Amino acid sequence: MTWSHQSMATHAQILNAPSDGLTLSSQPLGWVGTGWRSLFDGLGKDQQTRERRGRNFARRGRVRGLHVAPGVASAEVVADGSHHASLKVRAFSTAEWQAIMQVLSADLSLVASLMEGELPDALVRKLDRRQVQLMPTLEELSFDCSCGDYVMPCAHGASVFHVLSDALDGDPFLLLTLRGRTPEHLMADLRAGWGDETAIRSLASAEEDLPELDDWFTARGGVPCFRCRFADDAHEAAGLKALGPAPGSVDLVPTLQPLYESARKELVKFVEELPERKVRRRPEVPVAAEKVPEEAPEYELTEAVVNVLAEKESTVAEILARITTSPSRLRDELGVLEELGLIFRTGRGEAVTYWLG
Amino acid sequence: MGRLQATWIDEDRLFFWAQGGSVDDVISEEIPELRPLLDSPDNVALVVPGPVSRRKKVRGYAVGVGQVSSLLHGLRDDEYLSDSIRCWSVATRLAVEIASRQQVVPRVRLGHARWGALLSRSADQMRFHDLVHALPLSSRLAPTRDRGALRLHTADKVLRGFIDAVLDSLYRRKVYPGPSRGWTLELADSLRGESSVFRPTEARFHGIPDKLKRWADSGAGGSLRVGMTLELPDDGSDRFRLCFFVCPYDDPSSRAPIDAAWSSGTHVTLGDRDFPHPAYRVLQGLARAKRIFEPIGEALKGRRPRDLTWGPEKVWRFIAQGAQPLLDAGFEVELPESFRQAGSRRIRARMCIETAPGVDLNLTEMLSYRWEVVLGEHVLTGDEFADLLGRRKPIVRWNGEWVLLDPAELARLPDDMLTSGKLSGTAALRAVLTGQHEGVPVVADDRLGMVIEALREPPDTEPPDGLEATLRPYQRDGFSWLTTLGNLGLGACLADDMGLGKTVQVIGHLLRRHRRSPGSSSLVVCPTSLLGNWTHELNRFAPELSVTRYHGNTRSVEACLEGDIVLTTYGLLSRDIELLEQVKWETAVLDEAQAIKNPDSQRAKAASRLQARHKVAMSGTPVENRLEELWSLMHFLLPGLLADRAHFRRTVAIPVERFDDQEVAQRLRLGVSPFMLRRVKTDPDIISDLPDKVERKDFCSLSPEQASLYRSVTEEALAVIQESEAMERRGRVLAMLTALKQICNHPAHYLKEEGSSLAQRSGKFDRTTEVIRAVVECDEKVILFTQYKEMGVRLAGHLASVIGQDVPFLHGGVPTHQRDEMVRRFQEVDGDAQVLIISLRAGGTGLNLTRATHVIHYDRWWNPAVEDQATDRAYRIGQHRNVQVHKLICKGTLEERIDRLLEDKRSLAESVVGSGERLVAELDDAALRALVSLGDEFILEDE
Repeated sequence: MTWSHQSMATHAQILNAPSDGLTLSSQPLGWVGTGWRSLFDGLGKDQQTRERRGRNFARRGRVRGLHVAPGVASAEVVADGSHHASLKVRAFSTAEWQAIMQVLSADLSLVASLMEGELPDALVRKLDRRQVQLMPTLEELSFDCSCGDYVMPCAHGASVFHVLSDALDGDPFLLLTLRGRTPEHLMADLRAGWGDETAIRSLASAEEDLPELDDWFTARGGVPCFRCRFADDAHEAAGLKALGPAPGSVDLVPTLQPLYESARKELVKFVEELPERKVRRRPEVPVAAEKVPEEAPEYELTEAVVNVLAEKESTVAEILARITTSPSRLRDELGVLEELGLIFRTGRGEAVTYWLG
Repeated sequence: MGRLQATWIDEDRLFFWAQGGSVDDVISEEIPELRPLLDSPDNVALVVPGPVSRRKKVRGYAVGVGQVSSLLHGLRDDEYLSDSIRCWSVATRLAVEIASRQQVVPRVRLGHARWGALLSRSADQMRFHDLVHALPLSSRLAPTRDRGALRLHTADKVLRGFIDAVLDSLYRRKVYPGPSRGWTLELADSLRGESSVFRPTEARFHGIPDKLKRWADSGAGGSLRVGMTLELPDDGSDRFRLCFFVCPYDDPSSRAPIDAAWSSGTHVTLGDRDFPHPAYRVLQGLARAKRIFEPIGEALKGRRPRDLTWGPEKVWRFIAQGAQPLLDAGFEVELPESFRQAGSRRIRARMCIETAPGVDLNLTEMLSYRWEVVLGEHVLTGDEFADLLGRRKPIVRWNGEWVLLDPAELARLPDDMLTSGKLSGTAALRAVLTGQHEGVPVVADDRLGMVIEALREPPDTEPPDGLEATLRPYQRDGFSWLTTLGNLGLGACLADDMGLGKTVQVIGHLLRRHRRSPGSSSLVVCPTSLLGNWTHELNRFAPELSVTRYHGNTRSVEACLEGDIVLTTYGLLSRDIELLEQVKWETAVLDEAQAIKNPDSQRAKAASRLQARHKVAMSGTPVENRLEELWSLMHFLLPGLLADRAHFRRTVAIPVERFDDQEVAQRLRLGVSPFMLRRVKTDPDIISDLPDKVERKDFCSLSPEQASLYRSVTEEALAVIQESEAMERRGRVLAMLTALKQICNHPAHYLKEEGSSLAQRSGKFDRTTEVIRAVVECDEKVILFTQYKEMGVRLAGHLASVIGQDVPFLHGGVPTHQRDEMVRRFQEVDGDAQVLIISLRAGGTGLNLTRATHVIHYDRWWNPAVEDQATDRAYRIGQHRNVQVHKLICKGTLEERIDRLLEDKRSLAESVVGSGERLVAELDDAALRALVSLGDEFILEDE
């Protein structure tokens, strides 16, 4: 027996550990991680050997692709072949979930933590007092694996268990997920309690009424013309500061500050290398344009003609204020329009241009 | 509208295709600059709208957003682009602004971490929603497998994706991150490397990507925002209240208290709109506010969120440490009116600039200021201030009201409140114009205030009687303005349009200053070709002023200082600045000041070293358009008024020129307008003052080459003429005149040189080049008349290379259709010729050249009637717009003398049938010699 174990152990180490295998922390674990680990104190002898091997697999980064879903955690273990192991936890009953809901809705700061995916100690304590144990017992766990070992947990299951102790320690909220509900689900239940049953809309596609064909290429209401201003002064990771500390009360500013700084320099360069604007003035008022009978070409007072008189200082509005009549009247009655000639404008065809004399 | 469309595909690519026509043709026609950025074409299956929506393989180009963002940013109000492209352009600009404010955060999604926008500020949300509303459907067609089924992405998703892609391309930089721990290094790596994959390897960080996603999402907050108002106690206690509310991102006035919002169920109605998930958004907002400022967490203790009650210490902490970060993070934060920055219950320190009474105000000297502590408008006495300080608390009750004592503000005050300090004149001016100095509010006493007012409305000043000219009304205004600024020692920039008579206004100013400080000297710097002109005008308008020239190999500053006005050129200014800067000039004038538009040039640097009691710059080009030029001018006139160059470029030039920031432009205008006066020819007040045609004689000098040719020709010819009789004599005289005219035009003309270099060899030629350059820069048009085809050809060639445009030359040998074409190019609205050269002999009446605003007579016909007819009626110039006519005359030569002769005879104008030549041919030997001998003093020496 010993001999075959040894050869099996040697054989297992010949396969390489996967490149994206998970690593375990060398720091001591908190109460969640330690509590979880201690579940295996109750293992029988046969299970213990497998547990030791599984612990080794976990330590050597042979577990990858950890996936935690409501009620079940699973992963791939790469050791003497590749195996898929999973671990199920007894889901909470309706009564237990109700108790959790009651505790949460009594204290919004707990809900706030929940929104951030954090499990506050206060929640655990309050649940404890109501006899709701987040931490399962060994009996509440069940294991399964593709290796087909007749003793469960097999080594692979044990390795998933060990990896979970780190994951749970880093994110105790996963305990609630293992007990059957994700944070989103809980949030939805809470919102229902506040009278808001509708789902929060995601950015995914939605139905909409399709407009006329012509409007497919037009901007609704015209292209927006708001101003954008380049902010020159240093803003020092303003975005990060607006969000506040990252999960785990981690301040990302020192780590990412050099990236922001470098981006700022690059941006200044980007702006300086922008092509120069062609300042093209447009009439502020739709300058008179009239359709004349078929024989004559369409005509309009172009801004350039108006500009000639204005010498770029007056706006069209100021000039029109002085004139305030339409071109045909100007031409016929007042005689102050003088024909310049026919010109051809790219994209707009021929036009007669006039001169405001 | 253009036909090129751009559709969002993938995470970070735009697909360019054409609605009708070949995509390659359309690209070349509409955005040729796009071409180099594209690789090989793709075929993407889009459902393209048609009578029956049909799935088609559309040919086009897919390109990464990062590669075209610079191009998209630079597109402007060009009408020939599609709405699709223009919306992307606007979106790019928004993204760049967000990037510049660093409202950018890591966004984690599906195992990747990329940079993305944080749209927590209402201004950003509003603009984003404007884009969402406007984005055309063509931009968000989704590639589809299903034949015939139309698929669209939501505009929200597409714009978010686009903006985030632009931001990621700008922020993803290869640079080492700062100190990190745990998963932060892996996050940093996925944000800065080629690969954006983010999957922490440590098991205990398994939940982090999910949490980061929620953390970044919490900043967006949907369409509802959380806000808070701080209220003063109204019951005599010291309990302040912080009340929370929700409001839409674009309308803070439509608000509801959070209590009401909390109980609203699925929607809360604000104004006339419904907003979903109110309780969720309230909680999300408050949770984030708590992360930023911990004490807000008290609002979350309990079943429902509640308003807070705080004592003065906590209130102070909130104001000092919480309010600004919360505001920056996008929350509405309202402090009581009286506590706000300029509020009546908030202590402020400020500077009060004082002017010494009874003494003439001179802003080239230092001004003193004193400190004041104010509560609203009430200036605290020493005792009152000591009393407040003694309480040692930042928020105290004083005289029945709550008062805020900001320790930072108090720290600004010097220990001894009674001390005063000194400020330079220009700094004081800037402080009063902008209302603040280094962040401290500034007030000025009445006198300084009146000075500023006077700058805007200068009192009328009588021009000195020694000025031999009648000033037109607007010129008198200009003169008064120069006087006012001169009295204060403030630099002035006279930027009237060409032809409005800047020179006479400045000469009037120089005269007045000299009357007041006799014995002093002023310096006038001008382009070389204008030396003769300035001399002429000074002699004409202010004969009592003596003029010396600092010019030539034997120049000396001491000798020149004997004169009242010293003329020199820009070249000599640069070269001899060490000498010139030693003199404390009464006035320093820069003519054609665009010569120092480049602040790095030697000339500009030299100019700024000049010392003068008053500085004046004259410029004919609109300076406001090129801000670097404006800076350079102001640096000469009023150093310190505008910030240092790099700062000016970043905070003013780039926003105005590249981003068209009107607010910054307006502030600049306000700051600079007291020192710049510009009138334009088209101003109705001025038009009525101006005749249709303004004639001026430009006196040019001869180059040494011309002078020696002139002398030798005169000597030879006169010697022969003396010996000749009647007909032969007349012939010889005319030949001499022709030769001399040609020499005055250009040596190459006379010597019949081919293909030689033309610059710097003739005063007239160089002067012409300058005038034409200035006219072209002002976007105006000019006609040049010459008698000689050979001269016209040379002028056309040289000018074309100088201004970078074709210069048509219309002369007798030009066939009709070509002549019409030339006229068309000159005359039409989008014709490309700004300069037209005409040989007078080309004749032909009825040519319509009314677009010209300038006319240059390069050489004279010497028959006034013919000239006038040619320029006015034959060519219909001056009928629609004011025209400035330049008659070029070489000083000291026969041109000048004949011109004088003709002026005298002009009174008999109509009856003078004979030409100038005939007049000359009939002079006797002595008179002839007198006519053609060369006056030495106006030859340009080599510099």
